[in-house]
Amino acid sequence: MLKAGIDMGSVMVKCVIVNGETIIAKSAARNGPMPEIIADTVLQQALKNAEIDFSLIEKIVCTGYGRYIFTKAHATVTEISAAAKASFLLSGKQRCLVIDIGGQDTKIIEVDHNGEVVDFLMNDKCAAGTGRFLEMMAGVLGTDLHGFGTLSLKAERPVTINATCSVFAESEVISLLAHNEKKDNIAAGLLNAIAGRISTMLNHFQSQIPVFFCGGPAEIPGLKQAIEKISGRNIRIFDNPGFVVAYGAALCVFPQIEPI
Amino acid sequence: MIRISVARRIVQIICFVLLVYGGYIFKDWKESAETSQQKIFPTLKAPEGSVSTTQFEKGSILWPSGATPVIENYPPSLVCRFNPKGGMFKACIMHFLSENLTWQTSFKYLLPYITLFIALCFLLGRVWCGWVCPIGTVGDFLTYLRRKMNIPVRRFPERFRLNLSITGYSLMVIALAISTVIGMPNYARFQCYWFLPYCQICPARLICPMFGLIKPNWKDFSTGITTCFTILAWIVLGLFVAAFYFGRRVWCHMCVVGLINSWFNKGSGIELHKKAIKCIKCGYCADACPMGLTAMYQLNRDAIYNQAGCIMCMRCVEVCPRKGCLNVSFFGKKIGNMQRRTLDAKKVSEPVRRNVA
Amino acid sequence: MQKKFLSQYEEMLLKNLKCSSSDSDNIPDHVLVEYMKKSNLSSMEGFYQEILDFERNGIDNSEKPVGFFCNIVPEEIMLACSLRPVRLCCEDYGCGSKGEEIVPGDICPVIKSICGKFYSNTYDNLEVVVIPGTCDPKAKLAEILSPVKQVYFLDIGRNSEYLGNVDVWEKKYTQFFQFLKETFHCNAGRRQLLSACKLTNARTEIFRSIYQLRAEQPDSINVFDYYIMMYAGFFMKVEKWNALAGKVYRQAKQIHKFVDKPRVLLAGTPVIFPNFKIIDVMEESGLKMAADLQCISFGRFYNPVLIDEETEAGILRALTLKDIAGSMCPCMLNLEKLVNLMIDTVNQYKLDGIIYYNLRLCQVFELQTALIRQILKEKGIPFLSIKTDLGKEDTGQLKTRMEAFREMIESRKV
Ligand code: SF4
Ligand code: SF4
Ligand code: SF4
Ligand code: SF4
Repeated sequence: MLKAGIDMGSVMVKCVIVNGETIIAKSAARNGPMPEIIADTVLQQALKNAEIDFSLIEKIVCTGYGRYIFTKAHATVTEISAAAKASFLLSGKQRCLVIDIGGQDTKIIEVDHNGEVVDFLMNDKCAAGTGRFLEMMAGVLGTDLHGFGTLSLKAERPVTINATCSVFAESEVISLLAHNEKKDNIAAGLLNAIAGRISTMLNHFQSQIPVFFCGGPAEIPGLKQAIEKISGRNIRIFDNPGFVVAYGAALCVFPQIEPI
Repeated sequence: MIRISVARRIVQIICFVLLVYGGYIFKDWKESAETSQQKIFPTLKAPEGSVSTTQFEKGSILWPSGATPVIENYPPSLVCRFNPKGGMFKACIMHFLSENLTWQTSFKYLLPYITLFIALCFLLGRVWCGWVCPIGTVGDFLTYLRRKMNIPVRRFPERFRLNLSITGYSLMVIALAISTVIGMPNYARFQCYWFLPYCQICPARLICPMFGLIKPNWKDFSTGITTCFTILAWIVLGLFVAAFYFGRRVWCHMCVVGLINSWFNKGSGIELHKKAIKCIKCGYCADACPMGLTAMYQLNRDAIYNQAGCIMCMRCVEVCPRKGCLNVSFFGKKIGNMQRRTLDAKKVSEPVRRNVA
Repeated sequence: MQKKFLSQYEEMLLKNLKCSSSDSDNIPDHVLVEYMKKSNLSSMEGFYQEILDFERNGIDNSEKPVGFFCNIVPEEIMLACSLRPVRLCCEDYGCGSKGEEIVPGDICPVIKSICGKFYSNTYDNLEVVVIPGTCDPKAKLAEILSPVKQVYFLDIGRNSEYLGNVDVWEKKYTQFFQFLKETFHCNAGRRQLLSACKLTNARTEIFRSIYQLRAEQPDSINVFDYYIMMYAGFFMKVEKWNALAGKVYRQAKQIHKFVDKPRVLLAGTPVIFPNFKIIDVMEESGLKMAADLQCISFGRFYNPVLIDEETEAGILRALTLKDIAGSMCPCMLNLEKLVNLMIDTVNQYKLDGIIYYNLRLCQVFELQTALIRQILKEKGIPFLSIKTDLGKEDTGQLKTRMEAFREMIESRKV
């Protein structure tokens, strides 16, 4: 059975096409002012990659912040359930914690040995500690997300960033730059700040559960290590972390949830 | 269902009438009761040379208003020997113990009485205090008067209540010691003054006859000792009445019979349960308790909780605003919902069907 | 209250405040009408009418109205003095931004809106405002409001446990009674107190019925109607509220609406009209609020005045106990009670989960969240804590959470 999962994040739109439980194609694009059209293009792209026709797709499940926007979807599901579903499968059907850093929010999901969500935590209204925040900071440092990570790996003496609010963090970074602080130290400091927040959230959960990491920012070099260092837990990153949620959505069958 | 405090009032009044006026009411029944009783319970009699209540003349402190009681038995509440016409029951357990210690009655004869007493205690615990005892009823009546006079209640600290019970226990020990001593052949000559020392100062001795429409033995100034006892009895009675100006059931903290009864409160057939998860720590129960007990409120786990001081009035069960938090059971069987009716939300007319997918 | 000290500034304050907030177009009627449309009960009309009247005309002063906050101010005492208690708690976004002219923006949103409302004309008729010292902002509020109104500060401390504090509460209540009697020259006593208690007990009885009905069939009275009723209870006369609520209950009882959606318990910050964001989102996400543990509804109405001693002091004592029982405020020492109530309510009505609602910036609600979460997790009760403020911009995020919560509950049930 062919299914498509679309993750309409605030930054990226991702699409995964699965056959049963195996991924046969994926594609992604940056989200923009016309999310529905973007979603459609991403879906078409994925279909092209998979070399199949749209009519073969039996179910399209939409997730993410903009899940109600895409009208072609047969069902919607929240990122949390989708991430849990996918992580459960990818982690080899075990009890696990999933850190999912998205563009707008960071969540930690606890999945039990049946693959059900038992508990989840989400950061609050504030943007600090999310993908968007990192992107902003990378922008201030004049690089992109990947470059930001690489910078941080070179740091010798990471600075301490105190501000928890993204706006204040930005001004703090700017003032640090003005004081001739090295960029790599600042980058490492920012990553540490975020890792600190995530670790705090992680500490709400029991320590012996294995932790997995998904979401686009998981690919940033150094972030995983920073979290590991602060929280003292082993973290594993899924392959293609950005697509995990879309994959989960494709696997979710919640026929009872109609798009509203 | 009738409210529990109303039910209690009714039971109290009925018991009061039966116990205090029993001597009048069951006058004709006396004969048959006596004969049937003698089959199981041996008649306890004063041995040769010992004093017994019946010897006292009118005007002396221990004058028993003449007649013998209907039933020669000792239930666990202040059922006084000095009730008019002998009353319904023989007397309270304190009377029983003092008398027989003095008489040095052999244990063989006492056994049936003691067994019955303990059985009754185990059956109902201090329900006897909360629901039956005439002196308790008088106390509740005084409290009622206080409330009508708009006088606020004083709540006594734990320490004070503890001291009262210590006083009670001391009185008990002293009274029983005196009774034993005067039972010894060498000291037999003291018997006529020191017989039943506790009865001589017990407020029930004065109160019960008063309600029974006969003149109680107010005073006996014939000798120094009787004068002392007369004055002591007055003081105790005065304190008894005055205490109700301040608090509820003050006397019951030091009542010797109540104290004996309280030993059996734990493990008696009637039990108070608490379901801790339902408790919201509101203190309704602690506040309404006539004995000022806060243990029900403080309890933090599910438990059966019969405290020594509790008189099983079940006021706490009635006022607890959380349904199912406090419960009463009788030999393990839960007695239905005792909560105030007004608190019970109206039943939804049709049971709810819940789909469980 | 340092009235003298403040009175120097009074004129200045008033000039600054009144003119800037004189446009008293408070809540647009259409918000109310929208909720009215969602209602399935014709008998609810009375409540909507009352609220409309109130928002347009303020409180009429035919009976001396006295404003108060929080459950711990005993309404019965005011009723006994034949005053009209008006509860002033308010979570109005419009008023909130007005309030920012007087108080800092990052203070408790309730205080903010109250300040806003006070310096508009809504509460012009109030004779006295009774402010309890439950939390620090309230204490300061007493001073902020004192140039505008006569304020009575009822400080009962932070311990709402019987053994710890009941005597202090009782004493404060007695003083408060004395104050009202002197201020309004009435000689209320035992009889008046008793009849006031009878009134509120009748209210308790109706509320309990409604609460139970909703717990079993949350759609019989929908959640908006429910909170509208609670809000109307802020300023309506008790007799009138009782009569109307009784009607609503009788009508709702006939309807057997039976929903197959997760039923949850809503605890935490009170939901006060017009800030219905959280219940809006809940409804949209397919969660049914079946029961609540909030101060404006459960805390205020659920516990009866049980008079043990019918003396004047005894009645005041009973009022104290009722308010101790009803204090859901996180400012008090009552976590054990709150957690017990949560677990018990969930068990009793077989609810599916608990949503704990924090109105952002009231730190105390937030403070205890982690602790509650831990305990409930051990008990295996699904728990979601929501943190938000008066603004509407996070509706999408809230919805994601609520939906995820619903999916979590549903997947568990299967
Ligand atoms: S006087 Fe007191 S102790 Fe003696 S029999 Fe009567 S109640 Fe018992
Ligand atoms: S404790 Fe009170 S109720 Fe019990 S026997 Fe003594 S006087 Fe009676
Ligand atoms: S604990 Fe309850 S039953 Fe016992 S005396 Fe107190 S109110 Fe009565
Ligand atoms: S009355 Fe009931 S709920 Fe209140 S403290 Fe006592 S046992 Fe707990």
